[in-house]
This record gives sequence, structure tokens and C-alpha cells, in this order.
Amino acid sequence: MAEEFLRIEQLVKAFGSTTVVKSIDLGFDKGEFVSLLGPSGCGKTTILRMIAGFERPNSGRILVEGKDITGLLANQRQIGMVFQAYALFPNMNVADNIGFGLKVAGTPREEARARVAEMLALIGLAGLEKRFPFELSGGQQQRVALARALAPRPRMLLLDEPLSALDAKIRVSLRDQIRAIQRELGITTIFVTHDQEEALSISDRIVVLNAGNVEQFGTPFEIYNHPTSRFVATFVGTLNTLQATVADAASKTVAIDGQVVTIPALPAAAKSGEPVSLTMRPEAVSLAADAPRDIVLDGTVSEVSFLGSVIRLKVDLGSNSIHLDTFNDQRTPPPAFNEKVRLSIASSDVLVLGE
Amino acid sequence: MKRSRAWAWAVFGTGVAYFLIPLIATFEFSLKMRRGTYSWDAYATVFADPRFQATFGYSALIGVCTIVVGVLIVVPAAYFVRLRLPHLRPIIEFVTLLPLIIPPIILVFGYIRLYNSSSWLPFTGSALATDLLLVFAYVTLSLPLMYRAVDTGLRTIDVGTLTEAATILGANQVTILARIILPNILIAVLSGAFLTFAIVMGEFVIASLLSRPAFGPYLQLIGANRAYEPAALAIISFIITWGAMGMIQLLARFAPKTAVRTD
Repeated sequence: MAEEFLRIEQLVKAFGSTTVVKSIDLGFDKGEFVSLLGPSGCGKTTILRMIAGFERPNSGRILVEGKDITGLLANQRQIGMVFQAYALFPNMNVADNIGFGLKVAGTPREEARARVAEMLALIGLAGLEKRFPFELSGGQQQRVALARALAPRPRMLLLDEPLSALDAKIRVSLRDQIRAIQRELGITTIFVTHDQEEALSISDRIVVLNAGNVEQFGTPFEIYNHPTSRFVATFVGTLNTLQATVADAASKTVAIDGQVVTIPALPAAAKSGEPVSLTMRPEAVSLAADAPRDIVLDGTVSEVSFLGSVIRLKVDLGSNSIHLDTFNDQRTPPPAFNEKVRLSIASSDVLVLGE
Repeated sequence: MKRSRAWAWAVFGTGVAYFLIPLIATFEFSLKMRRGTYSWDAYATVFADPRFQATFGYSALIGVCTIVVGVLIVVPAAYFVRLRLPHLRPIIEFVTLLPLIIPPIILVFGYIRLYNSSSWLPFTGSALATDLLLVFAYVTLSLPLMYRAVDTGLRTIDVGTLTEAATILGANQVTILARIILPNILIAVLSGAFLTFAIVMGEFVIASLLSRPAFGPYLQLIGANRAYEPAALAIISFIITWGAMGMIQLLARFAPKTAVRTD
């Protein structure tokens, strides 16, 4: 594995008596796209702002390529940043906005002009250099903000919820464009978001944060399929949680609303009669007719949501209910409300979660 | 409905009459210098008076200096209060209102006592230093208007994010103030500047007690000794003030626009 490009060591940040970042250690590789994901107040933006130099940590260090940058001012760090609110300079046109960092750095005029043209081509806005920010759509403004951040050739790129202020459709297309540009330039990028779908779709790795702590750091595949805590499992993606009772600990069977099934992943410490939480993703559950698996549960359809290519069903088992997604099949109508159905689940997709 | 509308027009008409009748009467009187006919003689006399040109030019220069000093003090102060010390805003607002509460006569007596020729800072010891003192006094006098104009301008932009965006691109505080903040609040600053200019052009008390050859004392002098010229000067002063107000309206159209769009 290559040497870590960015290293965060025991970073702590408190505002008054509230500690928002609690001794965090992280390492990011060169050229990696990492998302900081978590709910409001988890400390993700504070970590990004400490990397940018806008906040000073109470303790800990930030190292870039082995050099400590903790004491450097924000304007000495050679970092590019894109803000949620675009933050384009209203008094400057597109070209002047993109060229601002170059001008401040004293780049010769011709070289700066060429770089601005290169950036405009990169974001697909060539020809709009004379426009002012108020003459651009939100998506265009954010692309200009991205070009402005990249123009001075920063060592890394920080993205502070850059898609949050945009409409859903623009958000998806800009997200793909940001990722394509990041791949093309190979620039190490840290992306802050509270949107798990965004993080899963765009990142090489994801840091899931909760209350100032790192809950899990891994690839989207690992985070989604192998969550290491209840928080990660519930925060990332939709999760079915079933309250069950251990029927026979020795044979690893549990009772879900009276239906007894075998769960090989049941911990050895589990005792018969104890309550236990079983979790599974909606896509791990299917109608028995589609794909018979080792766990079979009977239930009644209580909700049918037609989402186009996907149909989301809610099936009541008794006190528990399960959400599942099935693909829309033009030849077969979906189950009807109140229809009795049989569900099948692979026991390997069931997680037994502790607190 | 019709009745309430008639009342509204009556109140409006009374208000307009209250302000316009004295103005029209003054203007009419200013044209009566030549017996039996209307003429511009009073205006011609005023414009031909070398003291008018000298005092008008002096006050205009002092006005420009006041604006420059005021902008250099108020813009960075309002910016840093908004950016770094927002909890101090109520105190700063109160301080900037003090010149409205403390009469200029108190201010100037305080200045004369503090900065007389035998003090540590003998501002009144020379003409140039007294001019400087006059500028400082006018900066204080115009503080409520200038601060509010600048603060309103700062409220229209996202000062914090724009500052951070410029900082991360390598800019220092001076560059940020000069190239980002000031251009984006320039119209608000100019509004404050024109109001300041209007105040300086008509101010009498401070200029008179500091014995400076300003336009205000000249207005008083002419008013005490002539009949028609003071009316002409009053109209000229109104035109200056209205010109300043008109410029504010005109410039407001050129303010940089911000656009928070989601598309």
C-alpha cells in the first residue's frame, strides 16, 4: 500500500464545553475520493474545516505527505475547497472567479488565461467566461466553483456538501461530473455529505461518523454489506430490524412472531428465551416464488409502493414488518394489499446486531 | 372603501403641502431680487461671490476627505464585527448611534478642550491640523449613517463564506477586503458617502467653532446680512442634498447581484 497522503492524528475539537470531534485517527491515500458521512452534528464539517485551516484543533495533528500542516493558515495550505452555497464572488465574472486564485498567487497573465480556458473546458462551460454568477444556474455556478478551486492546482480538494443546494436531477449529474473530473485529475478529495446514497455512489472509501467518533471506515461495499455497528447499519441504507426471541440456543433457532427459523450467525453467548435483533437489507428479502432461500416467513402485504422500475412492499409478520424491493415485471402484477405472501431470505444475509 | 381612500389622499396631500409650500415659497422669494419681475439675480450674485466658491470648494474637499477616512475606518470595522465578533454588534450599534444623541456643540467643545494648542495633541494649533480635526469630527458625525449603510451592504452578502472562499484560494485579509468585500458593498458604501457629503456641506456648528472657512458658516453669514441670497442658497443646498439622494437611487441599480439558484 502506498504511503498515506493525508494523515489525521488524534484530532480533537471542542466548542465551549461541547466536544464535537473526539480524538479521531484517519489516513487517506493519494488520489483517493473519501466521503465523511454522518448525521447533523456528527463532526464531519468540523473535520473538513480543520483540514482546510478554518478551525484550529484543540489537540492532534494533520499531516500532508508527512508534513505537519496543523499550524499553517488556510491561505498557506494549497487546498481547494467547494462550498455548499457556491460562494462565487458576485462582482466577478466566470473567468475572473476561476482566475482569482491564480491572480493572488501572482501567476503570469497569459499562463493564468490559459489555465482558466483549460478549467472552463474541463467543466464544460467554455464560452461562458464573461457571464456573471447571477446569470448562471445553480449547477453551472457550482461547476464554476469547482473550476475555481482546481485552477491553482491544489494538493487536495475539499467538498463541503456541494450538492445540497441543488435540485435532485442536477445533483445526480453534477455528482457524476465531479467524480469524473476527480478521476481525470487524480486529486485526493474529501467530500462531506449527510446523504448516504451520495456517499455510496461516489466514494472510494467512506468514513461514517457519529457524535464525533469514527463508527466505520471502509469501502462503500464494506460499509453497506458489513456494517460493524448498529448505527452504521441503520444510518447507511434502509434496514429491516426484526425483534425475535431465541427459541433454542443450541440449534441456533429463533422465533419471529411465532415462526421459527434457523440463524447460523446467532452468537454462541445467546441464551434460549432471550430477545434478539435480526437485521437485513430490503434487497436481501424476496418473494418465495422468485428465489427460494433457507429462511421462509409468511406474512400479509400491508403497503405496496410503485416506484417505476422497483416495487417496494411492506409485509406484516405480526408485531414485526419487513420492507422488500422487487423489480417491476411487466408480465406479472405486484402482490395486492392484504394478500398473503411467503418471503424468503438467505440466512447469510441476516445480521445479528448488538447495541 | 372609497371613503378610506379619500382620507389617504387627504393625509398624503397634507404631507406634501407641509414640505412643498415652504420650499416653493422660498424658491419664489429667491427669484424676486429684481423689483417687479422674476429673475435669477440672487443666484448670479451667489455664484459670483468668491467666498461662495471658496467655502463650497473647502467643504467639498473636507467632505471627500471625511468619506475616505470614514470608509477606511467603518468598512474594516463593520466587516470584522460581522465576521469575527458578532456578539459585539449591539455594543457597536449603540456606539455608532451616540453622535445622534450627543449634540455637535458638546462634541466640538470637547475637541477644543482636548486638542487645544497647549495640549498633548495640539490639533487647533495650526490650520492644517484643525482641518484634520474637522474631518475627524465629521467622520464621527456621519458614523450612524455610514455604519448603517455599510452594515446593510454586508448583510446582503455571505461575508463568512466569501471570506473563506477567498482565503482558501490564498488571499490575505487586505486582498479580501479590497477585492471581494468592498466591491460587493460598494453601492452601500456610496450611499453612506453621499449622505456624509450632504451632512458635511450643510454643517455649521463644528466648522464655525473651529473657525474653518466652510460652507455652513458662509450660509449663516449670508443669511444674517442679505435678503434674497439666503433663499437662493437654501435652494442650492436642497439641490445638493437631492442630487446626493438621486445618486444613491441611481447607483443601487448597479449593485452586484447574488443568485442562490437550485437548478
